[in-house]
Amino acid sequence: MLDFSLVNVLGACLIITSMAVVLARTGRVSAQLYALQSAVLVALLVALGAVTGSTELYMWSVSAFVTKVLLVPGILLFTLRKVGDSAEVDLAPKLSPMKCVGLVAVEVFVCFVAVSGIDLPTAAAVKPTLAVALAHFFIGLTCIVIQRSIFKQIFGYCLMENGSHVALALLAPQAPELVEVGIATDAIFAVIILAVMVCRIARTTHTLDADDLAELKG
Amino acid sequence: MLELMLLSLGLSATGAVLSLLLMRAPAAAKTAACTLGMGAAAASLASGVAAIGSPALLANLGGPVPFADLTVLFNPLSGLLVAVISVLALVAWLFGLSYFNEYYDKGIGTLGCFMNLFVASMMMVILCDNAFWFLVFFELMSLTSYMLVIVEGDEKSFKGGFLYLVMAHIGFLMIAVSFFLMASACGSLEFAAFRATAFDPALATAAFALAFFGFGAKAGIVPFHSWLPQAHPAAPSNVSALMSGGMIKIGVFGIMKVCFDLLALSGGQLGWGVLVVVIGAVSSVLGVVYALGEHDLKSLLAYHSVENIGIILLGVGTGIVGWACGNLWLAGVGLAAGLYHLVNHAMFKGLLFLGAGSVLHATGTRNMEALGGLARLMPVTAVCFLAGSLAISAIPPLNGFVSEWFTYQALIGAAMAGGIGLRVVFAFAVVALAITGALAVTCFVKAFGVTFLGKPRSDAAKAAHEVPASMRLGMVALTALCAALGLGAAWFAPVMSGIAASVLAAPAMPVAAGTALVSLDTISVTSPLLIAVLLAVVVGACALARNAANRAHGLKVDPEPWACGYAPDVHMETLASTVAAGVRGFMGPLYGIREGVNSAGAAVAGVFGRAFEAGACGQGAAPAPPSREQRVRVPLSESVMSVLRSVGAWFSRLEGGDFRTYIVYIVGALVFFLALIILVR
Amino acid sequence: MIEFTVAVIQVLLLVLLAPLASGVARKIRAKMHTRQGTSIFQDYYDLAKLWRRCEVQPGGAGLVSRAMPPVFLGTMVIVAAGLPLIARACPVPLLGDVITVLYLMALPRFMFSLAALDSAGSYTAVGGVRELLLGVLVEPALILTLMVLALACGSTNLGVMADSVASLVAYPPVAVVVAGVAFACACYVEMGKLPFDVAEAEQELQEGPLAEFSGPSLAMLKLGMSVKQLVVASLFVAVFLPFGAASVATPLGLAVGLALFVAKLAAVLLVAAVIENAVMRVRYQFLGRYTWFVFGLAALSFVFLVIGI
Repeated sequence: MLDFSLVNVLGACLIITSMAVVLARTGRVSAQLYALQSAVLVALLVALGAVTGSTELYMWSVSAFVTKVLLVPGILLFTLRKVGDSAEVDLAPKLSPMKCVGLVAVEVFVCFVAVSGIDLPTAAAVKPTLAVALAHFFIGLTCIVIQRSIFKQIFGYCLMENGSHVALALLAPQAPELVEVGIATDAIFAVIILAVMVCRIARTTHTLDADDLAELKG
Repeated sequence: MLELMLLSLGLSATGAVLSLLLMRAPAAAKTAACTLGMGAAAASLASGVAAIGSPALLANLGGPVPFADLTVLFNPLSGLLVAVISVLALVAWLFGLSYFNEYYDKGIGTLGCFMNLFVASMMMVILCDNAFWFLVFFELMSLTSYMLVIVEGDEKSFKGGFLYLVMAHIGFLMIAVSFFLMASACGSLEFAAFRATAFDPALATAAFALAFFGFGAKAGIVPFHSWLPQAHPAAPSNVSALMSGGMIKIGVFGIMKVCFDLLALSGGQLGWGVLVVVIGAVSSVLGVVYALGEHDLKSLLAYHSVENIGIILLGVGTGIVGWACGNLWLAGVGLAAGLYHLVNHAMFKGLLFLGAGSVLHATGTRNMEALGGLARLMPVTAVCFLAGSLAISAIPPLNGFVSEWFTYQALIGAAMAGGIGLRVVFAFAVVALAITGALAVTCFVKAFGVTFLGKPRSDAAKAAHEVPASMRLGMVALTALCAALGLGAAWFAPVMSGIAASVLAAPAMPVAAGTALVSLDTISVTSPLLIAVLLAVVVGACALARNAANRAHGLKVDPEPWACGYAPDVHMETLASTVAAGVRGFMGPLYGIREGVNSAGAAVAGVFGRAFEAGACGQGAAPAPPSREQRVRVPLSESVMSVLRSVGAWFSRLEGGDFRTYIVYIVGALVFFLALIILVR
Repeated sequence: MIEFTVAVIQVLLLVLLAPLASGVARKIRAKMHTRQGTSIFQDYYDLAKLWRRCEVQPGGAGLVSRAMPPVFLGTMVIVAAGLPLIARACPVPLLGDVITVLYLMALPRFMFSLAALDSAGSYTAVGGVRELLLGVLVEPALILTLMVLALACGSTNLGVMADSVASLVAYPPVAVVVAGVAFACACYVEMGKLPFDVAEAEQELQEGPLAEFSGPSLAMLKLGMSVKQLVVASLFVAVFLPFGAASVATPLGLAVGLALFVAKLAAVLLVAAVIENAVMRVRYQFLGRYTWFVFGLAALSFVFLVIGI
């Protein structure tokens, strides 16, 4: 039972780190915090593997480590350097930190209420973590909605993706390797495409402010 | 008990008649009304105290109406209410002996008459055990208190009084419907029949909700509070004390009676308790926030009544939740906390209104901005008002602290025992209570500091004098009661617990051991008495040491405060608005709510006013002047337009063209339909 | 008897160390400004000197101003006696209830602000009002975090809380840790350190509410304010860092507890002093944002409590 509570504790750490990612002032710090969050995710996968005795999860954790802790933050930091001075990256979000924290708290609570309605034999002990996984979807959405800088909006996508990863690991720890490969590559390619677009946009329009970029449509 | 109560009612009636007969001789009318009123209050106090300690007594007094006998019920709860109101009435009459001198030319005869009838009708509402008579006396109470509100006879008091009358009747209507629902289900107007019937849950909930909002309108809960700060301050100050300390408690009493007594067999439902707790939490915060914005001393105190009713309801609501869940400790302690705060609020709010009355008597104004420096001129009033301020701010070791301590323990205990939903509700309540506590401190620093400290800011304040002995005696008596209820909490709390137990028909929860207060489920103890002793010793020692140092090294008085090198000026002093400005800055949105509620209340009163006017027209009176019609209509169309405009603005913001907003809508719709599927399944 | 001794030791410790703590904080500030700074014992010298001065009372002031310094110091002493500092259990359980402690601390705040209004000086009064505002802003977060801890430990008594945190049975753990962080922030605000020293903001307000005090009264008040900082910091140490406090009241255990408590308190104060010198002063209208952030953290810890992680 202690092991499942370890999983839950790591789930809580995921919430805290993802909140830090959303709240961080600069894109650089956000990227570093994202790496930290992915490290927590890897630890969670390892812990879950130890608890459920599923060897696949160890493999997952290795590939997650490579893609999420090393590659994605690396790509993002590299993008940051490429953008350089051509556009302002660190735009202030639309919501004050206080409201942000409150919103996250509400989201986690709502997700817990939603999850407590689900009756799954595999998820009985890890319900809090399942709620956390679900909440990540909303936190990512929050990040996309409140951030003005499109660079920071990428993190919203990454957070959602982490959430789906955790949910999959919790509900289907025995899932074959192929699924995992699909997820990992999906994430990597999406991030690469997004990063390239950020670079191009910064170079052409000299702004990363989503409000300004909305003028481009039509 | 019954004989004493009859004696009291008889004395009140005699007082009312005598005071009316002696109308031409104001001094005699006043003396007759006050002395007979005091006699009546003393008799009913004895009766109430006797009822607290004895088993329930039901008596049928017959009565003139064939379909409903006048039955009265003495039980510990009604005894407590009778005793509390008697104490307040006694002090109010005592205060009136000198205070009513100002009312010689404002119809002291009718004032004495209505005040006697008012007290008597409150007693009868509490004791009456028949729906018909209950409503009759409830109405009598509303009407007599309305007469007391408009005694000043100026524009403001008529306006406040009319709003009060309308709100009281809206409440009356809801209570009447609630009783009618129950009566039609059990076929009798006797409360005893209600008690013996197990109602259908849906009917019970409807009856409870109607009674809760009906009595709540009387008690001044948000959103029915807007009459309270307009009507209470308009009455003479000792009547304000009686209304704010006593009458609004009848609203709380009614809620408890309906829930725990009349609907006893139907069983409590969790939702009722949650409703009461949430409304209580909202009332407490909004009441104190609005109080902070007031510069009229008596309006400020009236708003604080809204706050304190909220705190009482937090305790009562926790009691209902505990009762519904079958958690005996929670039910007992929650209810006891509510009852304790009910008693405490009556005492310190009575005291503060009497203090405000003394200030009004001495200076002729209630505007805090024009006062200041009264502590030196009216030391007894100042000390009493300070004690009342400390008590209402829940500062240990005075009585407000004791009841708020129990309320906190009950709320935290409820959160411990409850599931997810209850935990959130009670966390909200705890936070609301915390905000209320901190704001109450701010508010009473303002009320006391701006009124009594600093330097006088007007000639009226400079010419103030200490009030006559009977008024001082009234305040000192209530101060002593506040201190006693605080320091002697270990002896009073078991009494409250016993009353709560009799209400719940359950064994009494232990709430005190020795001189300590005990909270079993949250494993905690406290002792106001010990705190008081320690404070006296430690603070006394510090003060002695400091004074010794002063004696050794000298003590001078500098007549003027430091004003950064400028000559100090009375216009530099801090005013009430200064204190309020900071909080207003942080709590802006909450004041917005008040505007909405107030305008809604005024609109309701306006509708009734027009209805009356139309009725008068129909009866052949002179046609209403057209200017008035226009005056009513123009703002109405204006307000409709402004509502439409704001709705339009809101919609245009909804559809702002920002793609992120659309994402939120899509996800919101997704979540909504998922929730729908889960709920339907 | 041993409880009584513990309570007296705690009180003496906090009262005697308070000037040293503020002296050290001042020294740290000087060092961070690359100044030499005054001696760390300077506050003792100041207090001794003030104590021997003639006191000048403002003309408008009355009993409230006169009573305030003893009430301030006395209340803090009583609060200090009740906290479970060197043992896990409260030395005086009757003073160890969370609600009692918080409401007892409202008494000095009440008197402090009232005294600021008493002297009829506009500068003092502004400071007094700000002190009240800070209380309004920080109280909800303080109570919510302590409620989370109370629910996690099953009691509102500080001794029981400290015991269950120290023996790691407080459940759920993450909620307690987050609540601890939020409580630390709230305590920092309550300590009145920069940028929350609004009541006493020297540059703007000429020493704020203290302006009208002098001589022994000022000495007592200054001591009281230093003691308040220590009491608030020890409240945090007592409930969220009770590790090492004596679980049974043996002389040896108490001695170890005492030594560890002083070390923990010193560490907490050091962190606070460093933070104080690393932040800038802000306009007091903006303080609400910081305190609401703390409240957001407290709410998050409550959510963690509810969902059980």
